Amino acid sequence: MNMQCPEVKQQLEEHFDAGETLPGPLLAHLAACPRCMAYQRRLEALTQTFTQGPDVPPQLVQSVIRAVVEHSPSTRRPFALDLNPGWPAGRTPQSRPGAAGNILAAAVALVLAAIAGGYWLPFPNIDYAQWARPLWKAVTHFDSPDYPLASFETDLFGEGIFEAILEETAAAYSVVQNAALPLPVSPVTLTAAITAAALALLFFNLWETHSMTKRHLRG
Amino acid sequence: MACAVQTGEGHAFDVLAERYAARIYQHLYRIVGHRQEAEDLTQESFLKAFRAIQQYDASREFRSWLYAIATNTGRNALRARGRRGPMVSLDGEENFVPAGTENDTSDAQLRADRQAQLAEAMGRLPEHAAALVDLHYREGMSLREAAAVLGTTEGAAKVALHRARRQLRAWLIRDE
Repeated sequence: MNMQCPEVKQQLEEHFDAGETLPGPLLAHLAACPRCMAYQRRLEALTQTFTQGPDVPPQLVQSVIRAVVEHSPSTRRPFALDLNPGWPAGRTPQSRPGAAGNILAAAVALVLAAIAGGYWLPFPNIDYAQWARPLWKAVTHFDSPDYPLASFETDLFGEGIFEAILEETAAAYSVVQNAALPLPVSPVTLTAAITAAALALLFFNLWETHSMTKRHLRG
Repeated sequence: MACAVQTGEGHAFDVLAERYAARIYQHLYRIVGHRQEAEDLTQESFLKAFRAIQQYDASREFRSWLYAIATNTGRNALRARGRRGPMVSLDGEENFVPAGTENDTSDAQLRADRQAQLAEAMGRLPEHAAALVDLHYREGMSLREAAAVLGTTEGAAKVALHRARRQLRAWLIRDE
Protein backbone atom coordinates (compact mmCIF):
# COMPACT_ATOMS: atom_id res chain seq x y z
CA MET A 1 0.00 0.00 0.00
CA ASN A 2 1.96 2.97 -1.30
CA MET A 3 -0.91 5.43 -0.79
CA GLN A 4 -2.01 6.48 2.69
CA CYS A 5 -5.65 6.10 3.72
CA PRO A 6 -6.44 9.87 4.14
CA GLU A 7 -5.04 10.53 0.70
CA VAL A 8 -7.08 7.67 -0.75
CA LYS A 9 -10.30 8.94 0.80
CA GLN A 10 -9.73 12.43 -0.50
CA GLN A 11 -9.10 11.09 -3.99
CA LEU A 12 -12.14 8.86 -3.75
CA GLU A 13 -14.30 11.88 -2.95
CA GLU A 14 -12.83 13.84 -5.83
CA HIS A 15 -13.45 11.02 -8.25
CA PHE A 16 -17.01 10.55 -7.07
CA ASP A 17 -17.66 14.27 -7.34
CA ALA A 18 -16.35 14.31 -10.87
CA GLY A 19 -18.13 11.07 -11.78
CA GLU A 20 -14.90 9.52 -12.92
CA THR A 21 -13.86 5.88 -12.79
CA LEU A 22 -11.25 5.01 -10.20
CA PRO A 23 -7.65 4.74 -11.42
CA GLY A 24 -5.51 1.65 -10.93
CA PRO A 25 -3.53 2.76 -7.86
CA LEU A 26 -6.73 3.61 -6.00
CA LEU A 27 -8.28 0.27 -6.90
CA ALA A 28 -5.15 -1.50 -5.72
CA HIS A 29 -5.33 0.29 -2.38
CA LEU A 30 -9.03 -0.52 -1.97
CA ALA A 31 -8.38 -4.18 -2.68
CA ALA A 32 -5.94 -4.32 0.19
CA CYS A 33 -7.63 -1.94 2.65
CA PRO A 34 -11.05 -2.99 4.06
CA ARG A 35 -11.48 0.35 5.82
CA CYS A 36 -11.10 2.38 2.62
CA MET A 37 -13.21 -0.15 0.73
CA ALA A 38 -16.04 0.36 3.24
CA TYR A 39 -15.72 4.13 2.83
CA GLN A 40 -15.87 3.77 -0.93
CA ARG A 41 -19.07 1.70 -0.65
CA ARG A 42 -20.69 4.31 1.55
CA LEU A 43 -19.80 6.97 -0.99
CA GLU A 44 -21.40 4.84 -3.69
CA ALA A 45 -24.54 4.38 -1.61
CA LEU A 46 -24.79 8.11 -0.94
CA THR A 47 -24.38 8.98 -4.61
CA GLN A 48 -26.95 6.38 -5.53
CA THR A 49 -29.39 7.88 -3.05
CA PHE A 50 -28.81 11.32 -4.57
CA THR A 51 -29.82 10.03 -7.96
CA GLN A 52 -32.79 7.88 -6.95
CA GLY A 53 -35.14 10.32 -5.33
CA PRO A 54 -37.82 9.54 -2.75
CA ASP A 55 -40.90 7.43 -3.39
CA VAL A 56 -43.77 9.24 -5.06
CA PRO A 57 -47.39 9.14 -3.84
CA PRO A 58 -49.38 6.84 -6.14
CA GLN A 59 -52.15 9.36 -6.86
CA LEU A 60 -49.82 12.28 -7.47
CA VAL A 61 -50.54 12.80 -11.17
CA GLN A 62 -54.27 12.58 -10.62
CA SER A 63 -54.13 15.05 -7.75
CA VAL A 64 -52.11 17.48 -9.86
CA ILE A 65 -54.59 17.34 -12.71
CA ARG A 66 -57.50 17.62 -10.32
CA ALA A 67 -55.95 20.68 -8.67
CA VAL A 68 -55.47 22.39 -11.99
CA VAL A 69 -58.98 21.58 -13.17
CA GLU A 70 -60.57 22.74 -9.92
CA HIS A 71 -58.61 25.93 -9.41
CA SER A 72 -58.04 27.21 -12.88
CA PRO A 73 -60.59 29.89 -13.82
CA SER A 74 -60.16 29.10 -17.49
CA THR A 75 -61.45 25.58 -17.19
CA ARG A 76 -64.71 24.16 -15.99
CA ARG A 77 -64.62 21.19 -13.69
CA PRO A 78 -65.48 18.21 -15.89
CA PHE A 79 -68.68 16.42 -15.00
CA ALA A 80 -66.76 13.21 -15.65
CA LEU A 81 -64.59 13.82 -12.56
CA ASP A 82 -67.66 13.66 -10.37
CA LEU A 83 -68.75 10.45 -12.03
CA ASN A 84 -65.29 8.88 -11.78
CA PRO A 85 -63.66 9.66 -8.42
CA GLY A 86 -61.12 6.90 -9.01
CA TRP A 87 -60.09 8.24 -12.36
CA PRO A 88 -56.93 6.60 -13.70
CA ALA A 89 -53.92 8.88 -13.67
CA GLY A 90 -53.46 10.94 -16.77
CA ARG A 91 -56.83 10.11 -18.26
CA THR A 92 -58.72 13.00 -16.78
CA PRO A 93 -60.46 15.26 -19.30
CA GLN A 94 -58.84 18.63 -19.38
CA SER A 95 -60.58 20.56 -22.07
CA ARG A 96 -63.84 22.41 -21.47
CA PRO A 97 -66.62 20.15 -22.56
CA GLY A 98 -69.76 21.36 -24.18
CA ALA A 99 -68.85 24.88 -25.25
CA ALA A 100 -69.56 24.26 -28.92
CA GLY A 101 -72.45 21.96 -28.07
CA ASN A 102 -74.08 24.58 -25.86
CA ILE A 103 -73.86 27.19 -28.58
CA LEU A 104 -75.32 24.81 -31.15
CA ALA A 105 -78.12 23.69 -28.85
CA ALA A 106 -78.95 27.28 -27.92
CA ALA A 107 -79.09 28.26 -31.59
CA VAL A 108 -81.40 25.36 -32.40
CA ALA A 109 -83.63 26.20 -29.43
CA LEU A 110 -83.78 29.85 -30.54
CA VAL A 111 -84.83 28.88 -34.06
CA LEU A 112 -87.48 26.49 -32.76
CA ALA A 113 -88.80 29.11 -30.37
CA ALA A 114 -88.99 31.70 -33.15
CA ILE A 115 -90.89 29.30 -35.38
CA ALA A 116 -93.19 28.19 -32.59
CA GLY A 117 -93.94 31.77 -31.62
CA GLY A 118 -94.73 32.74 -35.16
CA TYR A 119 -92.03 35.40 -35.20
CA TRP A 120 -90.02 33.85 -37.99
CA LEU A 121 -90.94 31.55 -40.80
CA PRO A 122 -88.08 29.58 -42.31
CA PHE A 123 -89.58 29.75 -45.85
CA PRO A 124 -91.50 33.04 -46.15
CA ASN A 125 -92.51 32.45 -49.77
CA ILE A 126 -94.54 29.42 -48.84
CA ASP A 127 -98.23 29.94 -48.18
CA TYR A 128 -98.58 27.95 -45.02
CA ALA A 129 -102.27 28.71 -44.72
CA GLN A 130 -103.11 26.71 -47.82
CA TRP A 131 -101.92 23.50 -46.18
CA ALA A 132 -103.16 23.84 -42.69
CA ARG A 133 -103.47 26.29 -39.91
CA PRO A 134 -100.00 26.85 -38.42
CA LEU A 135 -99.59 25.42 -34.98
CA TRP A 136 -98.43 28.72 -33.63
CA LYS A 137 -101.59 30.55 -34.66
CA ALA A 138 -105.18 30.29 -33.53
CA VAL A 139 -107.95 31.40 -35.91
CA THR A 140 -111.14 32.40 -34.16
CA HIS A 141 -114.49 32.94 -35.84
CA PHE A 142 -117.39 34.72 -34.24
CA ASP A 143 -120.48 36.54 -35.28
CA SER A 144 -121.91 39.74 -33.80
CA PRO A 145 -124.13 42.58 -35.08
CA ASP A 146 -121.19 44.91 -35.53
CA TYR A 147 -118.79 42.22 -36.79
CA PRO A 148 -120.81 39.73 -38.81
CA LEU A 149 -119.00 36.50 -39.64
CA ALA A 150 -115.74 37.96 -38.34
CA SER A 151 -112.56 36.08 -37.75
CA PHE A 152 -109.08 36.93 -36.41
CA GLU A 153 -105.78 35.29 -35.58
CA THR A 154 -103.85 35.17 -32.36
CA ASP A 155 -100.35 33.80 -31.74
CA LEU A 156 -98.94 31.94 -28.76
CA PHE A 157 -99.12 34.91 -26.46
CA GLY A 158 -102.49 36.26 -27.60
CA GLU A 159 -100.81 38.91 -29.68
CA GLY A 160 -99.38 39.07 -33.14
CA ILE A 161 -102.41 40.67 -34.71
CA PHE A 162 -101.09 41.96 -37.99
CA GLU A 163 -103.79 44.29 -39.22
CA ALA A 164 -105.89 46.98 -37.55
CA ILE A 165 -109.11 45.44 -38.60
CA LEU A 166 -108.13 42.21 -36.88
CA GLU A 167 -107.20 44.07 -33.71
CA GLU A 168 -110.64 45.62 -33.67
CA THR A 169 -112.21 42.24 -34.28
CA ALA A 170 -110.22 40.69 -31.47
CA ALA A 171 -111.19 43.50 -29.12
CA ALA A 172 -114.83 43.04 -30.07
CA TYR A 173 -114.56 39.35 -29.41
CA SER A 174 -113.28 40.03 -25.90
CA VAL A 175 -116.19 42.37 -25.22
CA VAL A 176 -118.90 40.25 -26.77
CA GLN A 177 -117.77 36.91 -25.45
CA ASN A 178 -116.41 38.33 -22.16
CA ALA A 179 -113.42 35.97 -22.43
CA ALA A 180 -109.73 36.08 -23.12
CA LEU A 181 -108.51 35.57 -26.64
CA PRO A 182 -108.17 31.92 -27.53
CA LEU A 183 -104.54 30.79 -27.79
CA PRO A 184 -103.18 28.16 -30.15
CA VAL A 185 -101.41 26.39 -27.28
CA SER A 186 -102.47 26.34 -23.68
CA PRO A 187 -100.11 27.80 -21.07
CA VAL A 188 -99.59 24.31 -19.62
CA THR A 189 -98.56 22.95 -22.99
CA LEU A 190 -96.29 25.94 -23.59
CA THR A 191 -94.57 25.45 -20.21
CA ALA A 192 -94.13 21.76 -20.94
CA ALA A 193 -92.56 22.57 -24.31
CA ILE A 194 -90.09 25.03 -22.78
CA THR A 195 -89.19 22.50 -20.06
CA ALA A 196 -88.65 19.83 -22.69
CA ALA A 197 -86.36 22.15 -24.63
CA ALA A 198 -84.34 22.86 -21.49
CA LEU A 199 -84.05 19.16 -20.73
CA ALA A 200 -82.97 18.49 -24.30
CA LEU A 201 -80.25 21.10 -23.92
CA LEU A 202 -79.07 19.49 -20.68
CA PHE A 203 -79.14 16.03 -22.20
CA PHE A 204 -77.17 17.21 -25.20
CA ASN A 205 -74.48 18.64 -22.90
CA LEU A 206 -74.26 15.47 -20.82
CA TRP A 207 -74.11 13.31 -23.91
CA GLU A 208 -71.24 15.35 -25.27
CA THR A 209 -69.39 15.12 -21.94
CA HIS A 210 -69.90 11.37 -21.97
CA SER A 211 -68.57 11.12 -25.52
CA MET A 212 -65.54 13.19 -24.59
CA THR A 213 -64.94 10.98 -21.58
CA LYS A 214 -64.90 7.88 -23.75
CA ARG A 215 -62.47 9.51 -26.15
CA HIS A 216 -60.13 10.34 -23.25
CA LEU A 217 -60.29 6.79 -21.95
CA ARG A 218 -59.48 5.39 -25.38
CA GLY A 219 -56.74 7.96 -25.92
CA MET B 1 -46.05 19.51 -25.78
CA ALA B 2 -46.02 22.78 -23.86
CA CYS B 3 -46.95 24.52 -27.10
CA ALA B 4 -49.92 22.16 -27.37
CA VAL B 5 -51.02 23.31 -23.92
CA GLN B 6 -50.64 26.91 -25.06
CA THR B 7 -53.02 26.25 -27.93
CA GLY B 8 -55.52 24.67 -25.57
CA GLU B 9 -55.26 21.00 -26.53
CA GLY B 10 -56.95 19.04 -23.79
CA HIS B 11 -54.63 16.04 -23.65
CA ALA B 12 -51.41 18.02 -23.61
CA PHE B 13 -51.46 19.06 -19.98
CA ASP B 14 -52.20 15.49 -18.90
CA VAL B 15 -49.10 14.36 -20.73
CA LEU B 16 -46.97 17.04 -19.11
CA ALA B 17 -48.30 16.13 -15.68
CA GLU B 18 -47.54 12.45 -16.25
CA ARG B 19 -44.05 13.26 -17.43
CA TYR B 20 -43.01 15.75 -14.77
CA ALA B 21 -45.23 15.45 -11.68
CA ALA B 22 -43.16 12.75 -9.98
CA ARG B 23 -39.89 14.51 -10.69
CA ILE B 24 -41.19 17.85 -9.50
CA TYR B 25 -42.50 16.18 -6.34
CA GLN B 26 -39.09 14.65 -5.63
CA HIS B 27 -37.43 17.99 -6.21
CA LEU B 28 -39.77 19.76 -3.83
CA TYR B 29 -39.41 17.03 -1.24
CA ARG B 30 -35.67 17.56 -1.34
CA ILE B 31 -36.23 21.26 -0.72
CA VAL B 32 -38.94 21.22 1.96
CA GLY B 33 -38.39 17.78 3.49
CA HIS B 34 -42.09 17.01 4.06
CA ARG B 35 -44.06 14.59 1.94
CA GLN B 36 -47.47 16.19 2.28
CA GLU B 37 -46.10 19.67 1.80
CA ALA B 38 -44.14 18.50 -1.22
CA GLU B 39 -47.33 17.07 -2.73
CA ASP B 40 -49.25 20.29 -2.09
CA LEU B 41 -46.44 22.35 -3.56
CA THR B 42 -46.30 20.08 -6.60
CA GLN B 43 -49.96 20.83 -7.26
CA GLU B 44 -49.33 24.52 -6.70
CA SER B 45 -46.37 24.51 -9.07
CA PHE B 46 -48.32 22.88 -11.86
CA LEU B 47 -51.21 25.25 -11.29
CA LYS B 48 -48.85 28.22 -11.59
CA ALA B 49 -47.30 26.74 -14.70
CA PHE B 50 -50.69 26.12 -16.25
CA ARG B 51 -51.83 29.66 -15.58
CA ALA B 52 -48.58 31.12 -16.92
CA ILE B 53 -48.26 28.79 -19.89
CA GLN B 54 -48.90 31.61 -22.35
CA GLN B 55 -45.78 33.33 -21.05
CA TYR B 56 -43.60 30.30 -21.66
CA ASP B 57 -41.02 30.93 -24.34
CA ALA B 58 -40.90 27.85 -26.54
CA SER B 59 -37.26 28.52 -27.40
CA ARG B 60 -36.35 27.65 -23.81
CA GLU B 61 -36.33 24.15 -22.43
CA PHE B 62 -39.66 23.44 -20.78
CA ARG B 63 -38.06 21.36 -18.04
CA SER B 64 -35.94 24.30 -16.88
CA TRP B 65 -38.93 26.63 -16.92
CA LEU B 66 -41.04 24.22 -14.89
CA TYR B 67 -38.27 23.49 -12.40
CA ALA B 68 -37.70 27.21 -11.91
CA ILE B 69 -41.36 27.63 -11.02
CA ALA B 70 -41.25 24.65 -8.66
CA THR B 71 -38.04 25.79 -7.00
CA ASN B 72 -39.40 29.27 -6.39
CA THR B 73 -42.62 27.77 -5.06
CA GLY B 74 -40.64 25.64 -2.62
CA ARG B 75 -38.49 28.55 -1.54
CA ASN B 76 -41.52 30.77 -0.98
CA ALA B 77 -43.14 28.06 1.12
CA LEU B 78 -40.06 27.78 3.29
CA ARG B 79 -39.92 31.52 3.76
CA ALA B 80 -43.61 31.64 4.54
CA ARG B 81 -43.21 29.23 7.40
CA GLY B 82 -39.95 30.82 8.41
CA ARG B 83 -37.87 27.72 8.72
CA ARG B 84 -35.86 25.38 6.64
CA GLY B 85 -36.91 21.76 6.47
CA PRO B 86 -37.08 19.32 9.36
CA MET B 87 -34.37 20.43 11.72
CA VAL B 88 -33.65 16.97 13.06
CA SER B 89 -30.26 16.33 14.56
CA LEU B 90 -28.28 13.60 12.92
CA ASP B 91 -25.95 13.13 15.84
CA GLY B 92 -27.77 10.08 17.05
CA GLU B 93 -28.42 8.59 13.64
CA GLU B 94 -26.99 5.38 12.37
CA ASN B 95 -24.20 5.71 9.91
CA PHE B 96 -25.22 5.76 6.24
CA VAL B 97 -25.70 2.09 5.39
CA PRO B 98 -23.89 1.00 2.25
CA ALA B 99 -25.58 -1.28 -0.24
CA GLY B 100 -25.10 -5.00 0.21
CA THR B 101 -24.34 -4.89 3.92
CA GLU B 102 -27.88 -5.24 5.19
CA ASN B 103 -29.04 -8.54 6.58
CA ASP B 104 -32.58 -8.36 7.83
CA THR B 105 -33.65 -5.07 6.30
CA SER B 106 -35.44 -5.27 3.00
CA ASP B 107 -34.15 -3.29 0.07
CA ALA B 108 -37.24 -1.12 0.02
CA GLN B 109 -36.95 -0.31 3.69
CA LEU B 110 -33.26 0.36 3.33
CA ARG B 111 -33.89 2.68 0.44
CA ALA B 112 -36.58 4.49 2.39
CA ASP B 113 -34.25 4.85 5.36
CA ARG B 114 -31.55 6.30 3.18
CA GLN B 115 -33.96 8.74 1.62
CA ALA B 116 -35.15 9.81 5.06
CA GLN B 117 -31.59 10.37 6.20
CA LEU B 118 -30.80 12.31 3.08
CA ALA B 119 -33.96 14.41 3.48
CA GLU B 120 -32.94 15.31 6.99
CA ALA B 121 -29.45 16.22 5.85
CA MET B 122 -30.79 18.22 2.94
CA GLY B 123 -32.96 20.09 5.39
CA ARG B 124 -29.82 21.36 7.03
CA LEU B 125 -28.44 22.73 3.79
CA PRO B 126 -29.34 26.18 2.52
CA GLU B 127 -32.41 25.85 0.28
CA HIS B 128 -30.59 26.77 -2.91
CA ALA B 129 -27.89 24.18 -2.16
CA ALA B 130 -30.47 21.44 -1.62
CA ALA B 131 -32.17 22.37 -4.86
CA LEU B 132 -28.84 22.39 -6.64
CA VAL B 133 -27.84 18.92 -5.41
CA ASP B 134 -31.18 17.55 -6.51
CA LEU B 135 -31.17 19.19 -9.94
CA HIS B 136 -27.64 18.03 -10.67
CA TYR B 137 -27.74 14.48 -9.33
CA ARG B 138 -31.31 13.26 -9.49
CA GLU B 139 -32.51 15.30 -12.44
CA GLY B 140 -29.18 15.02 -14.24
CA MET B 141 -28.96 18.70 -15.15
CA SER B 142 -25.66 20.20 -16.11
CA LEU B 143 -24.32 22.86 -13.79
CA ARG B 144 -25.13 25.46 -16.41
CA GLU B 145 -28.77 24.42 -16.63
CA ALA B 146 -29.16 24.02 -12.87
CA ALA B 147 -27.65 27.45 -12.36
CA ALA B 148 -30.11 28.91 -14.85
CA VAL B 149 -33.01 27.33 -12.99
CA LEU B 150 -31.79 28.77 -9.71
CA GLY B 151 -30.98 32.15 -11.17
CA THR B 152 -27.27 32.06 -10.43
CA THR B 153 -24.05 31.70 -12.36
CA GLU B 154 -22.42 28.45 -13.31
CA GLY B 155 -19.35 29.30 -11.24
CA ALA B 156 -21.38 30.05 -8.14
CA ALA B 157 -23.32 26.83 -8.65
CA LYS B 158 -20.10 24.85 -8.89
CA VAL B 159 -18.81 26.25 -5.63
CA ALA B 160 -22.16 25.73 -3.89
CA LEU B 161 -22.39 22.15 -5.11
CA HIS B 162 -18.88 21.38 -3.89
CA ARG B 163 -19.67 22.73 -0.45
CA ALA B 164 -22.99 20.91 -0.32
CA ARG B 165 -21.40 17.56 -1.21
CA ARG B 166 -18.72 18.01 1.40
CA GLN B 167 -21.28 18.92 4.01
CA LEU B 168 -23.55 15.99 3.17
CA ARG B 169 -20.64 13.58 3.34
CA ALA B 170 -19.69 14.93 6.72
CA TRP B 171 -23.22 14.42 8.00
CA LEU B 172 -24.07 11.12 6.36
CA ILE B 173 -20.81 9.19 6.12
CA ARG B 174 -19.00 8.70 9.35
CA ASP B 175 -15.54 7.32 8.98
CA GLU B 176 -14.84 4.29 11.10
